[in-house]
Order: sequence, then structure tokens, then C-alpha cells
Amino acid sequence: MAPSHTATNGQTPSPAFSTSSTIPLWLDGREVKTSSTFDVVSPLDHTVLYQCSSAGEEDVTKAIAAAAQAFKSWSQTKPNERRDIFLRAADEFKRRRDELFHYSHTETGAPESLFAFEHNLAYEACKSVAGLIQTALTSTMPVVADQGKSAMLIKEPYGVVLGIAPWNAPNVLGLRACLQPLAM
Amino acid sequence: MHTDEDRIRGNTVILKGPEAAPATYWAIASILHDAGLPAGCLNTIYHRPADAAQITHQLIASPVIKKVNFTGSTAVGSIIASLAGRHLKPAVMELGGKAPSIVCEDANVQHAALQCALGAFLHAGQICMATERILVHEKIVDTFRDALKATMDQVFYSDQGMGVLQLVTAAPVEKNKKLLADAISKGARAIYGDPGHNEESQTKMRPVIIENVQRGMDIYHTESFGPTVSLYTVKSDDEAIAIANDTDYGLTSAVFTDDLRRGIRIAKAIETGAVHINSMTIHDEAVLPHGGVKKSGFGRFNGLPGLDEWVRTKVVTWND
Repeated sequence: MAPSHTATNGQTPSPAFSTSSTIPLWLDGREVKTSSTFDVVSPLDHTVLYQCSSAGEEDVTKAIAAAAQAFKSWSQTKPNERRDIFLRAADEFKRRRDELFHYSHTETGAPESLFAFEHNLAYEACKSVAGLIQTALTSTMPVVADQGKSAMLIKEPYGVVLGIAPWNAPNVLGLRACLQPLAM
Repeated sequence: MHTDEDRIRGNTVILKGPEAAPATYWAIASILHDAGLPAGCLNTIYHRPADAAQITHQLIASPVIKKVNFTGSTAVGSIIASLAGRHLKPAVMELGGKAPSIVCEDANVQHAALQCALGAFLHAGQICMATERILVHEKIVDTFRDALKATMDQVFYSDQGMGVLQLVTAAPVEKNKKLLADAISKGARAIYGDPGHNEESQTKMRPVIIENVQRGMDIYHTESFGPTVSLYTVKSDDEAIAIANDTDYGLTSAVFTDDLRRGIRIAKAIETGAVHINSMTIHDEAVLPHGGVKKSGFGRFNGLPGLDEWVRTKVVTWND
């Protein structure tokens, strides 16, 4: 199915899923549907919205391997590159606002007012984190006791991390589970 | 010259999304990829509830995964944290709450009433920062009660009102009705809304405020995560603080007073990660570090502390 979210004609993107869809996993930059799925039910009318992929042991193994491999080059990017990705992401959050509201409202029953609040927090988070990246990674040089000796205190990333986040403010909570780790 | 083992900056992530909101999590990853995030930096996983233990264990036990962040209930957070603890993985836990709002006798009653109503019932109370307890000084409790009820009518049942609240599934509706039934059977009374009323839809519920809540009622300690709130009458700031702290939770709180010194004095005594003076318990923004104490969790999101969670320090020394 042609992804409607890549429309570049300036129109508001429409929801990407229908009742015949299966929501894919994102694995190594690709959208992957699993054979095992579960129903996603709307609390608004109790109908099945679509299927969602259900990961098995092999999928998790692939995700871990993809993240480990990606870390080798991602961990060498300059702060400016990551900053620019997050600034573009902020624009995308704004552009796809109606589509995102459709998901929140149909999946969780979120009212417009709550969605507006938490979606805006996600948009702001992209910009705020983008603005902090370059200085947040600054290391320091404590002065040690011995003559002729120097030291530095480096900030280094952990590597591959796991984020688990909930449904109730999905834009801001889902985003911050991955944004800050990716930034640093 | 960089080698494969150089780790300068930038973690990569596996994001486990909720079975109730998979499309949003798909969209977050879609947005980041469209913005230029390279392949493999962000991977998203969903699974059926029945597979939770197996998938979570596989992830946390993997030697490749170095740190975990979890936002969700205290009950599940405890399981995740103990898994992480067993495998010595550092973690950030942002868990549940039982937020108190203290209303002093010099508070702006109309303002406090609105902030308490919103704090308790935004998103049908399904927010970790939701107001669960309103502690009002006895000198103004009658005035406040009337103001709160009038405000609730305005917020919910006026033309622009919120109307009947929509919840995510039938489960929190059942949970809240059980909590109310238990409280009322032990002597609590509803001062707004009808605990016995059922909507046609099992996922909808109208807001309920109860009073005369005591220890021994389930709702005293249990996070409702739904459209109920308990009103308490207190004789002093000390009593308010004691009740406010009489919980395992500690995420956010609020204090309403005209005296900023008094507000700050109370703020220093409440055991929560955030205290909001003269505004509701629900507050989140990029610059303010967000997180709890006690069983509301540990670690922080947002601000510089939120970024520092994702790096560790390394000391390097040398001879000049």
C-alpha cells in the first residue's frame, strides 16, 4: 500500500491504516509485518480498527542486531547532524498533526484538547532537545593532584537502550522514550 | 582515526510500544525516519499481552542492551525494574501517582476549584499526574465544595463542556466503580456524580467526587487512573502534609495559597518529584526535569538531567 505519509504536495496526510491493514514493526529502517498479529480495538465503538504485528523471539533478535550495528555509525555522527534530524522531525510532527490525532482518538479515545496538549509537548521536545545537543555533550577537565598529570571526564553513550512507553499520552511519552537516548 | 569500537555520541534504541496505541508509535518512527534517521537507530516492537514476560525478558537479559527506560504503572514497573536489577542494567522508571492538591484557607477558591477539576478529570483521569486527592482547609471547605461542584457543571455539562468521559477500555471503568463501591460501603459519600450510574458504553463514565474517605478504603491508597477524586477536610498544613505523604506514590502535587512563603514551605515538605503552587498537578514541559520519588519511580526525563541519563562518564588521565 503506497504510504500516504510521504505526500509532498502539502496536503494533510491521511491515516495510513484501514481495517485490512496490519501495523508493521520498524526493523533496521524497514516496515516489517509479522505473521502473528493481534486485534486493535477502538474504545469509541468497540470495533476492530486493524491488526498489529506481534513480535516473536526472532524479531527481537533482529531488532537488537540492527540497533547494535547502527550504533557503530550513529555514535560517530556530529551533534549538528542529529540536531537537524530532530528539527525536521518537529516539522513533520506539525505537518502530520491531523493524522496523529486520528490515531490517538480512534485507538485510545483521546479528546482533541488532551491530544493538542501532548502532541505540542512532543513537537516542543524535538526542538528543545535539538537546541541542547551541542552543549549537553561538553566534557570537562578536572584538575588532578599530581604534578605533570592531567585528566578529562568524557560523556559517552551507553550503546543500545530499551524504551517502553504507554498509550495515554503516546506522542510525547513514546517520543521521549527514544529521543533523548538518540540525541546523546 | 575512528574504529568500530569508538563510541562518541548517540545511543540507538529499541522502542517497545503499547498494544493500545500502536499507530502513534509507528508514526513516531515514520516521522524520525522521514527526517533522516538512519536505518536501525530506532526499532519498534509490539507484542500481544500474553507474550509480555517472554519478550521483555529477552530484551532486558540481552548483553547488547545497556539501559532501560519505562513509563507505565508501578506494578509493571516493579517487574521491569527487578528484571533490570537482576541483570544489572541501569533504569529510568516513570510510574504511577496519587497526586494530592492542598487548598489552604487563603487560596483563590474559584481558581483552585477549576485547577482541581481539570487536574482530576482531564483525559478521564488517565494521566500519571492526575489529581487523586483534594485536601481542603476546614475554614473554607464548604465554600470550596460549592465552588467545585459549580465548576464541574461548567467544565462538563455546559455547552462547551467535556461531556461524558471516554476511557481507553472497560477495565478502568470497572476498577473505578469497584473503588467507589468499596469506599461507599465503608462510609464515604458521593458529593458529585452518581457512583451507581452506568453508561450505555462500557468504556464511558461520568466524573464522581467522594468525601469522608478514610484509611481502610481501597481508594485511599489505590491509584484510580480514572474519573474519580476524593475530597478531604484538614485542620492544618501539617495535617494536609501528613495525608499528602501517606502514600507509596510521589510523582506530582499542588498547593493553593495566596502566601508564596507558605506555599514553598509546604512544597518543601511534600514528598513528590514536582510541586505546583497555584496550578494543577498536571504539568510537563521540555525544560523541567520530570519524574517521581518513592514508588513513582526514579530517574528523570526532560531538561539537561533528562539528557544526562543517556550518557555515562569516563575518566581518562595521562602524563603531560
